Amino acid sequence: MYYDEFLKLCGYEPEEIERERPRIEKTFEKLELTTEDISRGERRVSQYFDVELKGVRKILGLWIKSLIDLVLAREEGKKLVYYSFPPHPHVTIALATASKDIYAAGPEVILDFVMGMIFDKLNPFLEAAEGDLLPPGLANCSLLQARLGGILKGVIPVPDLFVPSSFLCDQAPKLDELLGQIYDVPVVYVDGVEDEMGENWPTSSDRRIKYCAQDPKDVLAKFEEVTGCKMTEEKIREGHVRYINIAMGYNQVHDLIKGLDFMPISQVDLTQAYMLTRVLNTTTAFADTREILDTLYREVRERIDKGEGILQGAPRVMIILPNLSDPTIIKMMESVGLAVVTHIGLTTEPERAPSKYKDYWERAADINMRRGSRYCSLGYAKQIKQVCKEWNLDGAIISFLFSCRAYAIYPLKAKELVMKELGIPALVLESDIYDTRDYSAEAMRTRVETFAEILKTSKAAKAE
Amino acid sequence: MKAMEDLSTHLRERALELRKAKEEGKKIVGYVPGGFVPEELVSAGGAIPVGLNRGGDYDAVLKSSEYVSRFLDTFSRSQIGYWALREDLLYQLIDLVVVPCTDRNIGAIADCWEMWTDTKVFKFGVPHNNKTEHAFKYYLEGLQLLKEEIEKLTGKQITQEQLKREVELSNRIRLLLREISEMRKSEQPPISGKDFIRLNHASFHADRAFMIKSLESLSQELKGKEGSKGPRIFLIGSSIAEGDYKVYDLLEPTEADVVIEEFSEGMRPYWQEVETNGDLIQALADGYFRKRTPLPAFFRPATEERIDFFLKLVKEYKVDGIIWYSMMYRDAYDIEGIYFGRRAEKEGIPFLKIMTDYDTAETGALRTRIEAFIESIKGR
Repeated sequence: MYYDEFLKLCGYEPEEIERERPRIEKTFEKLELTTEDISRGERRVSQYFDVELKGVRKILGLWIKSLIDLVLAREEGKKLVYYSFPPHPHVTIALATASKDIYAAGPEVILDFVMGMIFDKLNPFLEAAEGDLLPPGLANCSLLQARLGGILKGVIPVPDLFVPSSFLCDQAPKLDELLGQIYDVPVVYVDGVEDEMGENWPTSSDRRIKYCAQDPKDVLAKFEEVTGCKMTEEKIREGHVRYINIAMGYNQVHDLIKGLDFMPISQVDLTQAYMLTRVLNTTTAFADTREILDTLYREVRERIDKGEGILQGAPRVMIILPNLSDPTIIKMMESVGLAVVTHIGLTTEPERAPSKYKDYWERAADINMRRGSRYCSLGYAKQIKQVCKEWNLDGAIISFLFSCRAYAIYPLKAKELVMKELGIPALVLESDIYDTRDYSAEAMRTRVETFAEILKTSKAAKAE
Repeated sequence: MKAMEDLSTHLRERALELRKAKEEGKKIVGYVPGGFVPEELVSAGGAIPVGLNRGGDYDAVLKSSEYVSRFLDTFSRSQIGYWALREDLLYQLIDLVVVPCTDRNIGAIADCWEMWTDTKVFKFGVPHNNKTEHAFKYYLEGLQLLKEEIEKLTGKQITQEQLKREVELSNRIRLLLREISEMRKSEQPPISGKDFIRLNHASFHADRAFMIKSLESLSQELKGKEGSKGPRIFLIGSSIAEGDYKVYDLLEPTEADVVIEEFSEGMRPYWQEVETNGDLIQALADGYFRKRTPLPAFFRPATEERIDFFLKLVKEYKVDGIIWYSMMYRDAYDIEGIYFGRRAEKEGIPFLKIMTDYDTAETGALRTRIEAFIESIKGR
């Protein structure tokens, strides 16, 4: 069929395609993916992803499988639970691993990746949302626009339960509240409070931890009530172990990059692996992710051993958040000679201190709320500086998500900390990692190019 | 109205009075007025509470862009901008700033003051739900911490007696505002929407005893007085700042006026009082948090409860139309405004959603929309 080659490029085995063909076709039809779209997807995958690596191909496939499972979940008799971003990982893994009869996901991320990153056909979803509750021009979250657009277009099913993160983000809980009213779906919140002082980062107050530990328990109770699936401690523990295993699978790949002066793999590929482990907490993705990450690890290791890679001796930079719906931005940064080696998604040393809490949900709250973005703006700026320090970077691209209020506050302070305290250049870049209609690679190129030249000169001067 | 004139005179002199008080050793506590920071606690500690509530000035908005992205809500950016402009004495006198960290926009005020000023900041965490015990406990603990912070600042213990006196003063202010507000239920409201909201704003930094006297005198003056008759507007939004009177001014030539309003910041919630018996910190938590009426849009959930409350006010105040007045980028209110607009349409209530970034350039477009809206109401 017209899509077979494309799917093979995305790690599907021929027999898998045969077996899955009815589901694939049904999904592609719902997504209105034409032969032209598939051709474009094939071109983009070949051009922007390192499909020579089996690990990369398999990860691409996992995203597509997640979308198929999501789109068909309702008609295949599953209960659906949608969480929002940023996820409370301990909650989402519990939901995603609870039962094969329940599909848990943050659907917008899957749509963003598959319809944006792969097919470059995300805009109809965004536009559908813009005609409804999330109009354009008001810095509404484009990630949530994908969620709303997906539901309005009938591509993703209306869930049985909404579980929005009510910490960090104000828009997701409000949108889900209203969707709950419109579609008569229960909503249960994972709340948090953001009242920490930056000087204390990353230690949270005891009372904040206790508060943040309560809602996850209420979420699980509601989940049981809505789905009829009993959440035992054993089940929660099992999910957690699986999650840690997957996260470690990614970390081993990422750590390979740390001491190198070249890139054996593009940040575009690293990002899709990262998102897979930290963001794509879906029932599908939990099935066999670790094995795929181990494959990727072996392949990258092999390249390093052979000295194969790109951007030899290039300035090493971090980016706050890599793009989730468009690979061309990171590719542009690499093309102007910047090795984008890491991002803010990884845990820094101060955040790794063992938790003193014994209760599972208190420990989870402690770990989750240490993240700079969930802590306070100064904490976040300090976290960014910490990443630069730990990775001994040459520069920082402080690309902030324009449509996220939480990300609107820290950038200039982060720039100041990085430049004054570490003495390295930093570039603040207004961007949108989920929608590049206003923030395309070409629109950013001039500033990034100039920044790259500064870094190259500075690096050369240091070397002399 | 003499009471209004006297109050205006008092307010003109107030900043200098505050500076003098500060020079004499009094502590000034700034707070963002949204009904979550009990000013009576500040007063009971011997400090002077001052609401940081200026707005309507694009210069402050522009100035804030040196510190934060332009995609925060206008009111919050203004509270950063006024500090940075260093032109408003009130913002320069503050010894301690207390910010209720409610949503990300208001929380940004705390974060920015923390990052960019030398002023001590107290982040007062407010959970987004007032129905659960753990949320109430968190708020209550926050009040205890605030009490300790104020005591540390002034070096004075807050006693039950002092706190009770201050709660009674605040209750009196709330009650008088409610009484005056309810006078607007009459066919010809004796007080204009703009004067009522200015009273509210005055109450955030006037001397509390003076404020009560003014409200009492005004209440007497208004009894039996009849104002003009025209389309009756319900103004709803996230924040109504002191100085942000554009909508009122645009309504004036149309003969329409605001007869009732609801804002989460910039107004004093006056629908509930604080108990003066028993543990007063508990009573404050109860009044300011658990019994908060109506809920702000950033509570989760809030919308249905809010809409029920709004529709009740529509009936009681015989509202002809609703103007939903959003700050740019205040997302929870913007989304809710769209949703509520649909409900209002179903209920047959004329509804207009407008937005501001305090930019004078927007006045023309706003005028056209408001005039057209009022015309459509008149034509019904």
